[in-house]
Amino acid sequence: MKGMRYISLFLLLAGSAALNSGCSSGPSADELAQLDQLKSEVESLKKEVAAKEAEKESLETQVRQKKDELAAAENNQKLTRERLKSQR
Amino acid sequence: MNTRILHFAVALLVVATVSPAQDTIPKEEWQKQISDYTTQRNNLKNQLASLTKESDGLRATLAALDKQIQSTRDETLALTGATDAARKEFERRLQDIESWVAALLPLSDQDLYVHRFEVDSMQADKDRLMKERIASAERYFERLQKIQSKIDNLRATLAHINSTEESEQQYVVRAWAKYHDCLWNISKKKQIYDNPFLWPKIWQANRNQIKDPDIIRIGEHLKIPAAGGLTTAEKNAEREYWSKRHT
Repeated sequence: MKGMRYISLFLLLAGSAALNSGCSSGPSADELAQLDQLKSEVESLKKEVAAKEAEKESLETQVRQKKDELAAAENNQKLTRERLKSQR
Repeated sequence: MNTRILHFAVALLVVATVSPAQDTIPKEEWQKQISDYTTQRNNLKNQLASLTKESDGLRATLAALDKQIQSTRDETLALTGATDAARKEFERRLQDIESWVAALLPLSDQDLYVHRFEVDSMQADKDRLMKERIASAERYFERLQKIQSKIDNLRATLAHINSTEESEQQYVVRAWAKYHDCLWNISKKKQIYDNPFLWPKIWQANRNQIKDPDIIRIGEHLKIPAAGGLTTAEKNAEREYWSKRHT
């Protein structure tokens, strides 16, 4: 009687295991690998975007500085003209 | 025994049924994640392309600005009408004065006092440069202004030295018995020269009242010249003293 109970429990679990693994609707190993690859591609793109943003910021700062430098050079030219006029 | 085997088989089955269920995700969830990550990847690629384009544009702007700055500077220099050779010559003279000023600035007050007349020559040289057309160019004008400011500093230091000299230029001789005042000891005093070997300076400055440097009188007012190395006249006076003593 006890043996019968174990046998029926065994059959029940074996059946559910077969259902869970053989008949489940989960993705295949290839599909999971595809997802992993996509995730790592996204991570790497995020890093590239962050680096590009930093580069753009630095270039914007350099442009601002060059504009100031140009304004100073133009102002110097104006002052030079004035000084030359007063020298005459 | 059979019961034990059966227990073991049941346990194995439980593990076999539960573990694959923990590692995997349902197909629908996988599909959803694939779709989300694909969208993210495409958005990031677009963002990267746009950022690259913007950075390239900024680099081009930088290059254009550099060109514009250089041409503005060249134009400014051309306004003065100076040739390349004239610019080089002007640059050389400017550097000479800059080095000259730089050599005087770190001198001690005493040494600067010795070189005090050079400050006037420096000023004259700077003024000559300032009168040239090329000096109007900002790059030179600013440097000339800096030189002027340094010359002004040197003049201020010299003025201070002179005022100090004026206030300390006299020493009243006190009794030998109590203070041991003699030219050697006076020269040795910290507030005088802090160097006894400079005593001929005091003697030379007071030759009209000190005939013999070994004899000075209490209450006598001695002129104390500026510190510095012995001049030729002072060295000669010292030589004369020693030769008299040995004869």
